[in-house]
Amino acid sequence: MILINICKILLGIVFLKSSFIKTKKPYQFYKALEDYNFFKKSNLLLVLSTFLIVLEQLLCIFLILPSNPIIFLSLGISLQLFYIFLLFLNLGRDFKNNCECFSLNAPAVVTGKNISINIFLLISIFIIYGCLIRY
Amino acid sequence: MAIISLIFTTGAGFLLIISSLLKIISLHESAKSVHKITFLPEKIAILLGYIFPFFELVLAVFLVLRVNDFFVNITAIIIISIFIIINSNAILKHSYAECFCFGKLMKSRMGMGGLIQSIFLFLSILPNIIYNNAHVLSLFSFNGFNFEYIALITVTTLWTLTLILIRISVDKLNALRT
Repeated sequence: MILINICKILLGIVFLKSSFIKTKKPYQFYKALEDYNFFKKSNLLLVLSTFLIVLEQLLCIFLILPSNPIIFLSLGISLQLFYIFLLFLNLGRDFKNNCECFSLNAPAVVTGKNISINIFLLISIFIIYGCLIRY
Repeated sequence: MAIISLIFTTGAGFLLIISSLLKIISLHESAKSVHKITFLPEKIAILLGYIFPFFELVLAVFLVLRVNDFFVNITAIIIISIFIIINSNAILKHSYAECFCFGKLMKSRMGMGGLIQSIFLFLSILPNIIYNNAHVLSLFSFNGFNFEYIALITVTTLWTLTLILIRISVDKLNALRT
């Protein structure tokens, strides 16, 4: 049980680091998402980028602090699936406006490695949830 | 939920048993192909190629018998996600190398077919991790050879066949396109 909690907190720290960078540079994150050509309307993208940062921070809080596992599972699945989908759409592309500071979710050059890391994070969330509801 | 979990997990287990047995039959070729489809150094890849079919067989048998269900499922999920990553990488790099996933008997290539099959395998096993199933059933939990049991075996076999057919048909479609 202690080991599961340590893994949960470690995963939370990974997301915390990522969300902390996004909180520090919200405009760069917006520009990075704009390059990904997912949303054409800039107003909608502005709301989405803010929403994504807030969701990631919430995910960190729920991972680090003791909480209902279903909350971090649903948050984690929705966030990670969105990022994996976004990365798949832009695979192999090189972005010039990207500040190269969001290596986890919005890298400057999208490679198979970035997608693999995001898939690994998604699987980790599933496994930690599974362990928590059993022990 | 226990029956649905039994059908999908056992179906996936049967597929892994078939795949691993066919790999063991043509062990030398499948071991060599690991180097082409992974990012590992040659010696490690070949060693892994020799060990992996046996590991896959043990895992598949555990999946069918539902022994130590949670840990077996976690291992299966990790291995299947590696399949997903390798197949996605093959699609990205347009390197549809022969993978000997079903040995020499059924020629298969890396790519969309493998990706779709791996995603279905992943979705078959995922509910076992997300739901805490109190009554883990296996094909050997039933005492009588009744209608329910026959239906269960038929549906499980059909799921295995569907997974194989998906792979074969997508591979053939891709070969025709190229």
